[in-house]
Amino acid sequence: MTVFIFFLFAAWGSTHAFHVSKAVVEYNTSEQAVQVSMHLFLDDLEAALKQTHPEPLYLCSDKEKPEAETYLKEYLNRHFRLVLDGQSKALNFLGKEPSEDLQGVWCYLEIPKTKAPKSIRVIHTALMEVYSDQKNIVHLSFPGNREWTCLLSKDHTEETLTL
Amino acid sequence: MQSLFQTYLTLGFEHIADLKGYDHILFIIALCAIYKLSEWRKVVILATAFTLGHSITLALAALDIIPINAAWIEFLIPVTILATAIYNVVVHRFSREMEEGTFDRRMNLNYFFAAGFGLIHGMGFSNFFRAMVMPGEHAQLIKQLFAFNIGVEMGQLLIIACVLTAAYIAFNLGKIKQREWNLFISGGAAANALVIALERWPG
Repeated sequence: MTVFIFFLFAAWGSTHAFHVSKAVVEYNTSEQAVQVSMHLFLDDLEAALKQTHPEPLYLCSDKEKPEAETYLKEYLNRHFRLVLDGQSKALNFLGKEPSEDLQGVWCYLEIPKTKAPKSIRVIHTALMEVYSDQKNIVHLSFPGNREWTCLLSKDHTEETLTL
Repeated sequence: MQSLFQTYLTLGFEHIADLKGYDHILFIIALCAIYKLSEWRKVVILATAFTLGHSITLALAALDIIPINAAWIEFLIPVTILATAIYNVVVHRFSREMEEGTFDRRMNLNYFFAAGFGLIHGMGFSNFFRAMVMPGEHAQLIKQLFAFNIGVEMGQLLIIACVLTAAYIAFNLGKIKQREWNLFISGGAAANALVIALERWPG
C-alpha cells in the first residue's frame, strides 16, 4: 500500500514551477495618461514568442535579436487590452528593462492624453496559450486612492471595473 | 474585481493547496499522522507554529533581508518531511512505554520542530511570492505578505481537516489501529519525500 501511495504521488512529479505575470495599471493625473508596468518571465515569453518567431529572440540579453522588440510589442498588443469607457484604446510601447533578478522583463506601456475613465475593462490573455495554469495579476490604481486587484486566468480572461 | 488582500489570500491558499507543488501538502500530512480527530486542537497549534516559522522567513526574504539559495531550500523541504515522518514512527514506538509527562515533553519538542521546519518552507514560499508580489509602497508589501500567509494557513487547515477526517474513517469504519495508520501515512510520506530530495539533490 505504501508503494501504491508512493507511485500515486510520484506520478504527479514534483516541479514547483509557477506561471504568473503581474501588472500595475495607474492613472497619472499630471500627465493625463494611463500607464502600465508589466512583469513577465523571460523563459515564458520566449516560449510564447516561438509561435510567431521560431528562432530564440534572446530578450534582454547581449544577444537580443534586433526584431525582438517588434515581436514583443505585437504580442502584447494581441494579448493585453484596455477598454476605457467602452472604447478600446491603443497602448503605446514605451520600453522594457530586465527585472532585478534577470529572470523577467518589465514592459512599460501607456495610453497618452486621456481623461480619467469612469469604467475600465482589462483583457489579459498573455501566456495563457502556453500554460493552462497561467495567472495574470493586475493591480489598478486610480486617483482618490482607489485600488483594485484582479486575478485573471484561462477561464476568466477579463474584468470590468466601474469607478 | 477584488481587493489586494483577497487576491493575495487566494494566491496563498492556492499555492499551498496546489497538487503540482505538493511538497507543502505532504509536510502537513506527515505532521497530522500521529493524531486522532479528537486531538485537532493540538494539530491546529502545530500548524500555527509552522505558519509562524514560515511567515518569519518569507517576510525576511521578501524584504531582501536574507538571501535565498533556491536549490538548497528546495532540497531541504523534502528533508523536513522525511525527518517528520521518521520522528512520527520513533515517537509512536516509544510513547506506549512512556509516562504521560514524558510524552508531553516530546510534544513540545514537536512544536519547536514545526516552527523550525517552517523557517525552511518560508524560504521556499519566497520564490513564489517574489514572482507575484506587486511593486509599490512598503505598506502594500506587508499587506500582501499578511494576506498570503492567511491564505496559506487556511489551506493548511483544510488539509488538516481532510487528513483527520480520513483518520477518523480509518479508525472507526476501517477498524484500523492508530499505530498502523501512522506507519502507513508516515511511510508513504517518507518514501515520497526521499524521492523528491534525491531529485533535488543540490549541485
